Amino acid sequence: MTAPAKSSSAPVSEGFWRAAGRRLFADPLARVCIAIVSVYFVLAALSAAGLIAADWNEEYGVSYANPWFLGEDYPNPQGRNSLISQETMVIDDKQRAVDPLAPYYDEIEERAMQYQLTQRELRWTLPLGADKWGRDLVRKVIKAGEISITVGIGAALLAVMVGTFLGAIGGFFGGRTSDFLEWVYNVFTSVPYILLVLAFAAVTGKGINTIILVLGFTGWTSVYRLIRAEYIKQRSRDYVAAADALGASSARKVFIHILPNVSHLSLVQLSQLVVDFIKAEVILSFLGLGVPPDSVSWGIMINEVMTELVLGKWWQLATVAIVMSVFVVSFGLFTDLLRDALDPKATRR
Amino acid sequence: MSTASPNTQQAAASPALLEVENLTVRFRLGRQNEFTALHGISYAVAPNQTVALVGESGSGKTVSALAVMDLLPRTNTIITPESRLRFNGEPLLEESPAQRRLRCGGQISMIFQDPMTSLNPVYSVGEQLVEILQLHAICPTRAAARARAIELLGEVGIPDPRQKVKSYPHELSGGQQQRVMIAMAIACAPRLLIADEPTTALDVTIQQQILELLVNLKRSRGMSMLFITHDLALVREVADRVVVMNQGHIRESGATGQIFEAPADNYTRALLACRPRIDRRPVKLPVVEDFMKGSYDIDSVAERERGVDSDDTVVLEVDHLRKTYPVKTGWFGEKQFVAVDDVSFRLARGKTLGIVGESGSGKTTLGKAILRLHEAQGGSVRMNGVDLLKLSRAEFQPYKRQMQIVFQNPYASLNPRFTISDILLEPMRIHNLHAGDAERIEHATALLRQVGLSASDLRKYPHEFSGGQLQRISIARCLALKPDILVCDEPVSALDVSVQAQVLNLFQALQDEFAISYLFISHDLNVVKYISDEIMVMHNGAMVEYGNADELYRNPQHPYTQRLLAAIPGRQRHS
Repeated sequence: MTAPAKSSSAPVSEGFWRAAGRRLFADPLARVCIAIVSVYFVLAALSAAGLIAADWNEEYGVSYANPWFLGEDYPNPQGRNSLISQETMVIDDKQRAVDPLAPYYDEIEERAMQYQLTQRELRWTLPLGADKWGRDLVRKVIKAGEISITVGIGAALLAVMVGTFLGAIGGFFGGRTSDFLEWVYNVFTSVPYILLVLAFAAVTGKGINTIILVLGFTGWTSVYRLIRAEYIKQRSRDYVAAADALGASSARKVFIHILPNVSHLSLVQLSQLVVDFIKAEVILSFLGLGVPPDSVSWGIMINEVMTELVLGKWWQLATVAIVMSVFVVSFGLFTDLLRDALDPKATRR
Repeated sequence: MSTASPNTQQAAASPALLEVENLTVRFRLGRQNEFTALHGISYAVAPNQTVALVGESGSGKTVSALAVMDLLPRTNTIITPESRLRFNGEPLLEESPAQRRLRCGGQISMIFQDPMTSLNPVYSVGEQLVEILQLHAICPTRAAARARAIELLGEVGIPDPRQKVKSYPHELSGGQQQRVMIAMAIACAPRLLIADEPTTALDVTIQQQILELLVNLKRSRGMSMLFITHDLALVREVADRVVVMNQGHIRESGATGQIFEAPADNYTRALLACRPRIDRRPVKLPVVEDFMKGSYDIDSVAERERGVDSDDTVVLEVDHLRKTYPVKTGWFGEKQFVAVDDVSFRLARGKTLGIVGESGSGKTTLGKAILRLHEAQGGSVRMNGVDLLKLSRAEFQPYKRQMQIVFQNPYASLNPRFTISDILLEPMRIHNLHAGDAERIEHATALLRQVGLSASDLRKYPHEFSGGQLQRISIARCLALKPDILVCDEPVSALDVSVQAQVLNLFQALQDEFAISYLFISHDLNVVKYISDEIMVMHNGAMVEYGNADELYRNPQHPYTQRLLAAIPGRQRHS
């Protein structure tokens, strides 16, 4: 009799989230998307832990080293076939006669020997090639992914928390509270988005945390709007009136009764914003207001591409574009399928 | 079935207009899952005949009509090859979707339960009628179609059709909307009219008018009618033949007189008996199980005496209660809409006050105002001499324990993300009853047993239960606080007839055991008569009559009460 919930052997009932998870995993496309996205997350986590790509900033190859599949002989001023241009200069009497520094060459070399460091032998080719400073693009794109994904998820979490909280308060209480929040919302949305972000960034300076804060505090508006509307709808539902009749406090009604019934919307918003913010970070970095120059993100990589393309060095662009698109597309698809799974009525096709 | 012979006789006499033969419909629910909605049912509708399909939710009555109309979703519906649907001798299932669609509206048309959602809110009713007339090429020009639309509105009894043709659905009352739906259905002179619960969403008095309209139209236009309803009593006045369905099977079919006078099937007998009747008040209502087990004699059950005496203890005194809503008029204007006007009553311990009225009469608002779920604008609600309306929120909190509410729709009033255990423990946690959660779980288990559920249900979620079980759970939630007063806001209106009886029996048993006082709000006069000691009739926010139940039903004073009682379906034959 006591604690019958524990002793009974009835099968565990399927809650809302469990059922949604089952519906999500029933879709093969969703399984593929989840697999791809998890690979990215694992790489980002390993990179954040310093286990891989910690040495992304070091010189592994010659400047603009070719990717493997192009080989060493692909026409490239810095490739192996350009060695002719690097032939050592022969210093003969004729040279000495015109070169005022010539008498000191020996001394210079002697001094330089003292500072000689053990230098890695630079490769002529790397798996995906190298950038201008000879950095390995594989390591670079992993490190950049870590930063971009961190920024995207951090900012999306912040935006969803702010938006959900304000939306819940505004939608549930209505009246003056709602008016005030609507006013704030209108001010935020009346300023062009990119201008707002630039203004925030200009005031707070550079840094990854800054970007997260900037994107989070400017991106909450869509979540706020959605959650507010949902709370207005839910607050007049019978189960809220029933909670009221039982004597539940407002906080209890807002966060314990209604929130679980709207949280799937927040979740979908979260995953949509992750993609949006990764793209926004790219734009910000492209404009030079993003991640500081001593670190790297997908946006910075795209920014660097501008000057390289003129030289015919397309592999950094190809790498970052493919890596980023695969992530954005599979995360976006995952978001769509998640929304379908959370709303069983919408899945009838 | 024992009733196969009259069926064939009928078919021989006149060729049937619609023949449904061996119809089996399955729905694909998942990759492997299939649900069989209809198990090879057969019935026929002869010309000029009204056939009623009667059954509870899930009986498949609507599915069979939708199959005739070709309105079932193509993607997940399987109609087995043995099924036959013949209209006027032509096999419907062999026709192309385009041919089927041409028949819809033209030869077969359908009206649905809820006129508000069936009409398009952004077009005037005239435009919607004109669209149908032109679509089926009944009227060559727009002007002719418009003139015909006005004629049709007149035919279905809309007053001043010339003006009303320009109005939008929201400007019409529920009854008028249903009349417009009927006008649309008969616009192309169909030979068969399918009416799917056409009066369920309407008030009692309107219900009666719509029924009369349908019967008259059928007679004057020589149509056949397939009348789908859950209410067996309603059918008696309109149908020639009755088909009783249950869970995709036909239980019984026969002429209306035979079904009502000498039902052959136990299920039909149960359906007839478990609706509370206006002339009887058994101690316990019979439920379907009683009949399915075998013969059950209704007359053997003792009658219950009801009524309030002057020496009963009063637990709640309501005086001159008034509730108004601000309504916007124009851009800046605002006027007060009076929802509840000057209502006073006394509620005695262990007794039931039934509040009757049509939709919009203010009965639900009254219940919520007493519980302070709505703020009242005047009057007093006194409990033990304390005016509850004057208390602050914190001072009112202990009184919430003593007054609880059961809502109409159990699906909406239980939080879908809570387990049953969360739902039952919450009130005890809020009011800090019992020492610790272990004791509370024990109490919740006892409550579940009391309402006829088992302890293993504690871990389930609301969507795993049926409507009747959910209503039991919401009653258990209220009982967790051991209230003195329970406001029941249409607690059985959303439930099937057989479940209604079970829940009413539960209410009665709880009252007998704990002497709870009920404020029982309902539009269903039979139910109110059964459960109430006293009755208050409300009309447009005002209290028009208030008195002991039996006296009020026997001798209604106010003309509105008289009209209301006269409109109860099936009343004429019972009395």
